[in-house]
Amino acid sequence: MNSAAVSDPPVRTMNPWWPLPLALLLWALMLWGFGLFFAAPAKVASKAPAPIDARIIELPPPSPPKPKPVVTAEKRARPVPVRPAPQPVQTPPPAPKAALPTPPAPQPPPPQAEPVPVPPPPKPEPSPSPNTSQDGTQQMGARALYQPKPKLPEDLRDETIHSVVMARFHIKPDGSTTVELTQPAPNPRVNQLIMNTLKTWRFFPAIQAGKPVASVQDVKVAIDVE
Amino acid sequence: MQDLHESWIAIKLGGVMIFPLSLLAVLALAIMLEKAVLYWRYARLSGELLDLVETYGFAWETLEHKLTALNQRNYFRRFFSVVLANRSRPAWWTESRAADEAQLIETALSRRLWVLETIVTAAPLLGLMGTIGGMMHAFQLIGGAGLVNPTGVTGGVAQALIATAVGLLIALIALFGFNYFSRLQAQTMDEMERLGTRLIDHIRLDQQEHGSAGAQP
Repeated sequence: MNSAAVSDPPVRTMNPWWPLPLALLLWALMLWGFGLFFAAPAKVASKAPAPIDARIIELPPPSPPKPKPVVTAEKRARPVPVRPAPQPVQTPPPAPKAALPTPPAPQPPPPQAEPVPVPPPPKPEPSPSPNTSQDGTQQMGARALYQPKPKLPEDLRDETIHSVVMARFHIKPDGSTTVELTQPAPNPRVNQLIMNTLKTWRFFPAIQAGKPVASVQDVKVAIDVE
Repeated sequence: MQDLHESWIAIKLGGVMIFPLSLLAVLALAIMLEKAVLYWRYARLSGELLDLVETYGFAWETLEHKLTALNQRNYFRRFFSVVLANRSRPAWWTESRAADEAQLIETALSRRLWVLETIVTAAPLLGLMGTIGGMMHAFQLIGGAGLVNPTGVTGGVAQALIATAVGLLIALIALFGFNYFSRLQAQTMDEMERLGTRLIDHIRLDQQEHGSAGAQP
């Protein structure tokens, strides 16, 4: 009697698969946000070092294209291209530090540390700086600012005397580098010591159209035995 | 577009484990969406009906009329109509049928909730699996010749960590969903039980009054 008025409702409630596309879309969105969250730190890191680039204004006066015969430890690279370049050329080379007006110097390595002769191999990229033109749009390869030679203890001398070690630097636009040995020495301990030294090398990034870009540089490493 | 690409790169670092993890995530989200719609459409009770059931003096016809206004699949309608259909039977019979129906409704409400519960546990475990895979791969790069490819090692570690992070994210979402819908289910069943008791009391009272009225003349 009453069951006619309020009939038996169907037991099956709903098709369970209808929310799947919506869920897929939601998850794609979330994954995207998540990926952005992870990609974000890299962006911040690439922005932060920019002031460091702009600060280094000292430069070695001798024209760089030939292998430099400089014996001082100052192997500073060319001036930063974002500034109008020509003025620094006139500054006298001996006391570049004193001329620096900006004191905050996060540059970690003291360049005077190594009185060694300049190792010939780490030349700058082929197009060094024929254009120190006014605009910041020239192209330059990456160059080393600070490159101490690896020092090895006496007992490893035999292992290294004939070996040639090639290292490859990946220089990011922010000047940070990752280094790997493309042609390592046979002895792992030697490799470890070399890597430790190479990690302290500092580079000025390659410049393309006025902007720092990532670059790769191969370096043949000369080894000092103590 | 640039953002999209960057996030894609970051996610790709997570390795193979991202795919089963994504499957779990889509499953969890789908179940949560389904539950949300189910409770929203089929397990709501209007305040009007609630008031009606809670007062003792209503006519059965009014209740029937109000029930027909509810959605065909509404769980409260299902439950009340079982009580109404059996209201001329003895009270123990009506009670027993109502309990049966409540059991069925509880089963329907908790359907696939176990999947959500499983995902809460399984997603971090899958993420850990990705972590272990990534770590193993990363440390294999440190061979006999020393640390020749440090970028490979750090990349592997990053991959491992992303898999874990995604797993934890999924587990968190599923955990909130599971707890919320479990609670909602318990609340709905409590409400149904309370109202069912009211109705059966009402039926008993009716039968008692009819019985005494019939005995008097």
